[in-house]
Amino acid sequence: MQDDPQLELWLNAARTGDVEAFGHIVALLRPRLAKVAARYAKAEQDREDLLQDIFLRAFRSLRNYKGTGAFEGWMHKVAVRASLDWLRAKLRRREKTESELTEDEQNWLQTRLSDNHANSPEGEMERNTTKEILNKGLNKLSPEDRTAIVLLELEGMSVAEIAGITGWSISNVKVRCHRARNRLAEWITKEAEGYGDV
Amino acid sequence: MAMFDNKTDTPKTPVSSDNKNPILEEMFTAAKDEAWDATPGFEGRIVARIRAELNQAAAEPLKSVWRVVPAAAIMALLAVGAYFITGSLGNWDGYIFNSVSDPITVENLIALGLF
Repeated sequence: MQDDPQLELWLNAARTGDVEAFGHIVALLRPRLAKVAARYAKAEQDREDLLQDIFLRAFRSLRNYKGTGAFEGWMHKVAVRASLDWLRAKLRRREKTESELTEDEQNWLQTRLSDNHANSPEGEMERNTTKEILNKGLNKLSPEDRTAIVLLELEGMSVAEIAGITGWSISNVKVRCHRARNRLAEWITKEAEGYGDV
Repeated sequence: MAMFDNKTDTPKTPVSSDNKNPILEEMFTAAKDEAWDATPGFEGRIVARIRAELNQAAAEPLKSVWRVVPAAAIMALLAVGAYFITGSLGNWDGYIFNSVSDPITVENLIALGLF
């Protein structure tokens, strides 16, 4: 039973194969799930494709939704799993992911390290640079480690919630997060040190 | 930071507090506000894609039939061939050929080149 009676109606209709009703659900949940897709895919077209995959998978799996928990939570789980599969498929296809920093980004990183990160990133441009660098670092991780650290740090989920969504054990999630953070920190240091060679 | 302050009974001790990197933490904070959204018309595109998939799925059984038909045709041809070889299926009584009237034995099958 959903809190939103309209959602309940659409959901019941969509389960019987009503695509129009599912379209209403898509419109309702798109803003939230678009953010999830954007954490895994960088290019605009990739994001669109991933978001479509998420909703397509959800439509196919609607019968598996038992209605015991919030539908939004179930959809989020579908989104994360679809995103993880998308990353794995990308790796299998050996698609090149952008992970090399530009000179400006290296410069920014070097400055941040040298000023002992006294000032937090301010302004849209600086925040975008920060995001871009982080994304390139995330591209260096395995799909599983990336998913774990994204859910923990960017989506603010607890270890138990991540375990519930991914199906991994709690200790496995902790190991993945720990390893991901270590690798990202090492990568940042290495990239900043490489600045002098550019 | 929602780090391991999970709502479960699992230890609250952050397993990775020793490897926190200030710049990395800054990056996480900056990247939290992801403002991307799909371009207008997304709902229409996904509905069209689902419809296309459903139509494709509806056409699948027909595809399966066409996969089965050649195999069935070959089997039918073999049966017809066997019918002419044996003379009449109605006379089938455990003998290879009506004219031969030999029982099905390994020796006879070898003799016929079937085994």
